[in-house]
Amino acid sequence: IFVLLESLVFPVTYLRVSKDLPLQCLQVEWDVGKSAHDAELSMSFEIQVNRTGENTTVWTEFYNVTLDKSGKPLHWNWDSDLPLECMAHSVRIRSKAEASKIWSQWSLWETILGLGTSNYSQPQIFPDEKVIEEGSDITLCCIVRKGQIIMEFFSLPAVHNFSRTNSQIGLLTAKTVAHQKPSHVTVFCQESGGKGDHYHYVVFFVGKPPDLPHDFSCHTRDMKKIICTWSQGGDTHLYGPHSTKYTFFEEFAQKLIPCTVNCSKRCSCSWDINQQRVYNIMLTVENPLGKKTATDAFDVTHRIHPSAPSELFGHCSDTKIMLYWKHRNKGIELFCQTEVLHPDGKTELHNSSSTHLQYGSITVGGQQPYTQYTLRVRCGAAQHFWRWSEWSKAQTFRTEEASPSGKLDIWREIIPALGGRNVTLFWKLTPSFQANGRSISYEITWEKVEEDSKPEHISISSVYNTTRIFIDSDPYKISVVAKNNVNYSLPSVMIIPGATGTENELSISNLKEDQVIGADDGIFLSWEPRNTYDGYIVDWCNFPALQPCDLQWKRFGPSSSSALISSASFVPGVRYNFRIYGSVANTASLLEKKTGYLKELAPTLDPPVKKIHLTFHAVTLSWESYPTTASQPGFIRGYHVYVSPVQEDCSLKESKKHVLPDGSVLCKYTIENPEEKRYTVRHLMPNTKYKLAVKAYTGGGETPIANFIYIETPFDTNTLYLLGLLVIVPSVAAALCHWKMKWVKACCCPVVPSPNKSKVLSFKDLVIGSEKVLKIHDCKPDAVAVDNNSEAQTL
Amino acid sequence: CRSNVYEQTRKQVALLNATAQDLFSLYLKCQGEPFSSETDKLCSPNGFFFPDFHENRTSEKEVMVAMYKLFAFLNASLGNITRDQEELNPTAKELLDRLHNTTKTTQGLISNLTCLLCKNYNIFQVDVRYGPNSKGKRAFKKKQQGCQVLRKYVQVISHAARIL
Repeated sequence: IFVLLESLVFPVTYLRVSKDLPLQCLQVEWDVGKSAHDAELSMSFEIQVNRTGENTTVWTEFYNVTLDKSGKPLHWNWDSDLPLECMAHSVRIRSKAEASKIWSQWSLWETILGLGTSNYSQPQIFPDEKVIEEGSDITLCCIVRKGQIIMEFFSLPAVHNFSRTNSQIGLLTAKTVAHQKPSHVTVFCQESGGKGDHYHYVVFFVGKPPDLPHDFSCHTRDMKKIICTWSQGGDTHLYGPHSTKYTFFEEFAQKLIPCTVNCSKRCSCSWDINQQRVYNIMLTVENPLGKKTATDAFDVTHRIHPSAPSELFGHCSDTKIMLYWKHRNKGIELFCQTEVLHPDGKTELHNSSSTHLQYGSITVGGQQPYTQYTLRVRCGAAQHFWRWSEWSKAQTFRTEEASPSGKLDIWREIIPALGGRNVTLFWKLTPSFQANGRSISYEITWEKVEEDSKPEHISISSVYNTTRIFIDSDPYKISVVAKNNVNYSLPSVMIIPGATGTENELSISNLKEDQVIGADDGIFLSWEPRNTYDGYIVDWCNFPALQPCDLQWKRFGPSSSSALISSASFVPGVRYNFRIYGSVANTASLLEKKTGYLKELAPTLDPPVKKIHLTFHAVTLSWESYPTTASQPGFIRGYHVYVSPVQEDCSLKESKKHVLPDGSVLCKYTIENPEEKRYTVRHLMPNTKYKLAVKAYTGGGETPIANFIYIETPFDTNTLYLLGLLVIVPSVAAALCHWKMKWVKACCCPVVPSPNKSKVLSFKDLVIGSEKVLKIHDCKPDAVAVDNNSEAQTL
Repeated sequence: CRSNVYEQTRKQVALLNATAQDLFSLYLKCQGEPFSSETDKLCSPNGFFFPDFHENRTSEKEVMVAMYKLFAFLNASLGNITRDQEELNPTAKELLDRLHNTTKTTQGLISNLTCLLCKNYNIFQVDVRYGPNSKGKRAFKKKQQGCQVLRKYVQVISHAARIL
């Protein structure tokens, strides 16, 4: 039997092909002999589809099936990408038993004809109004009437490859069609021949299948209706009859749920809840290009999403807010949360339970008096909490007024006046101070400490934070309170000692002012701590040159002995004066004074130099009028005197070399005492031009030299005199001598007698030989002088 | 009728006349090709019914009746066109807004003309011939029919405005 099967063939005995034009598919029905059915053979069938117009096999498929004894024919469908009206399609089949190696003979081609020619009064285009997916291809055909030929066949916009099969049937393929605006492509076909031109238009639609529904979720607000929501997804570009359709199916009840979908930001659909509590909902979204599904299974009692509370109302005390609201859906036990928004942006959350009743409430305590709060509420199911409702609309409340809390910080400036003192009072709010109401005013009361006198009183509007009062020389107690519509704050008290105390202060005002140094963020002060005080106060003026000077003060505890004073008003180059007070029993005493700059700057004005005294070796300079006061932008630390001969570099003794930016060299002398405003530059050369400059310097340095003063040292007269003596006198003397030369010669340089020239030699008797020798024995000397005793002896 | 109904009618017709061409141009643009390039061929009114409005009508009564027929026809046609465009071009917001506004003005005109015909001429009924319903037609045919109506409307409304 095995050998027989190998060689057996079971040809197709029956083949019928029909067309389904709406679905554009061929329906093929065929069969083989009864024996194959009886043997329940597994068979393979090779099916070929041919387009007669193109004369090509457009499709080949192997179809495997196991036959049964029922003898029913076999079926197979084929979807055509080209409309079946466009041309004839043929199908043939051959078979092979699985156990066999031999294919049967092909069946004869079974043909389904196309339209051939147009039956209408114009050409026909197929398909008409097809929906295709963006990026896919479409093939259309145009069939003209008998006797006509195709003149034109194109799409608008032009996305096509045109091919023609015969003059009466044209094919148009549009490849990778993109989405258009509007979302349809028009196809035009015109025939020509005979009388007149006839044409036809169709459109096809380009779109996308629907997206998978995102965030599909169902809930109820009131246990009466179920609402399902989901994200719509991207635009399919298909509208009207081709737009997306939505279907809801409940799996447990196996029923379609009639539901009207509404899509704005999100899509939603709702229906009434019946007795069913557990649901398994399947949403199908479908358009001509595809369908997607999403499911949600849930117990409706676990999916309560209440509506937002509404109609908030309430009332307040000074520290409490009693809030009420309405639930849109009664009958559900809710758990609610109230948000309290403070003026500073902080929020508090308070939880509360609500019953099944229609109204909920909460009392929120611990609030500040006379303060505006914004409240809103949201609720969730108390049992099986799922989600909070949306927040209710916010409601604003203002708590009632209460007494001002905390105290004011007060300070004073005392200026002696005729008969007493003018006291300027200042006050400011401390961090702990709360007005707790509107219409704040400040009440100032002052009375003598020692006498039982009637206190004086003024009331100042909250617009002001300072006032001036006059008191006499006695000690006074001054009290400042803040007042609102309800009550007063606790008083802030200060004691002004009697005028002797003030005089003492005045004498203390002669205290030495210590210089302090500024830093990037302020001016650092320190003071001697003393055990006798329970606090310290530092005061200063933000604008020392102005009136009023904007007096500021700061308080420090008893253990403080230093502080960094910062102020936005501090600027470089301004000298600020600080007074440090010790405070005990509300009485302040001046302890120390400090002065300093946030940052010293170089002096803007140079010392006005006068030349007092000039000699041939020195010059004395003076700048007595130059101030070293607070008008300077830094503490004057001293002066630099710069000197140089005009033509040469400096080489003065006891000076230091200073090189200017232009490379020239000056001699620099330093004076380290700011009060020393006179200086003598020595070792100058006489009869020489010098340039000089005097610069003051501070901790911020000095400005570059802009101007010099010029001097010329006189000739040195002593030298002149000496010169005179050395030159003139000898000259005169020489002239005299020359004039009276003989007298001078005779006087000063008499001629020394020469024996050879002596008259004696004319006395021939006295001459011995040739030599002119005077014989002594022949001469009777008048006198004899003995020069050398020994020789004289010889003689 | 209000005392100024004639004046209001005249203004309404003037408004429609002023906006007709823009409506037609926008309609062509929104249909895509070949409507802009083949307007004469596709939107020709040949073989297509549209109530006429001849300028040589003698009596005011005839004018009023003709106008009533015109605007009743237009109102129905605009209904078809709007429905079709909501289906074919739902994203063409400006076109749909203009169609809605033109429809509203047309309906106001019908109301005023009804009152005038009744009050001045004791006419309570006018036979109106309407155009073909585009429902169920192919998409291209719907677009073409709307184009034909609006093109003719531009011509006829100018006649009506001139007479008033």
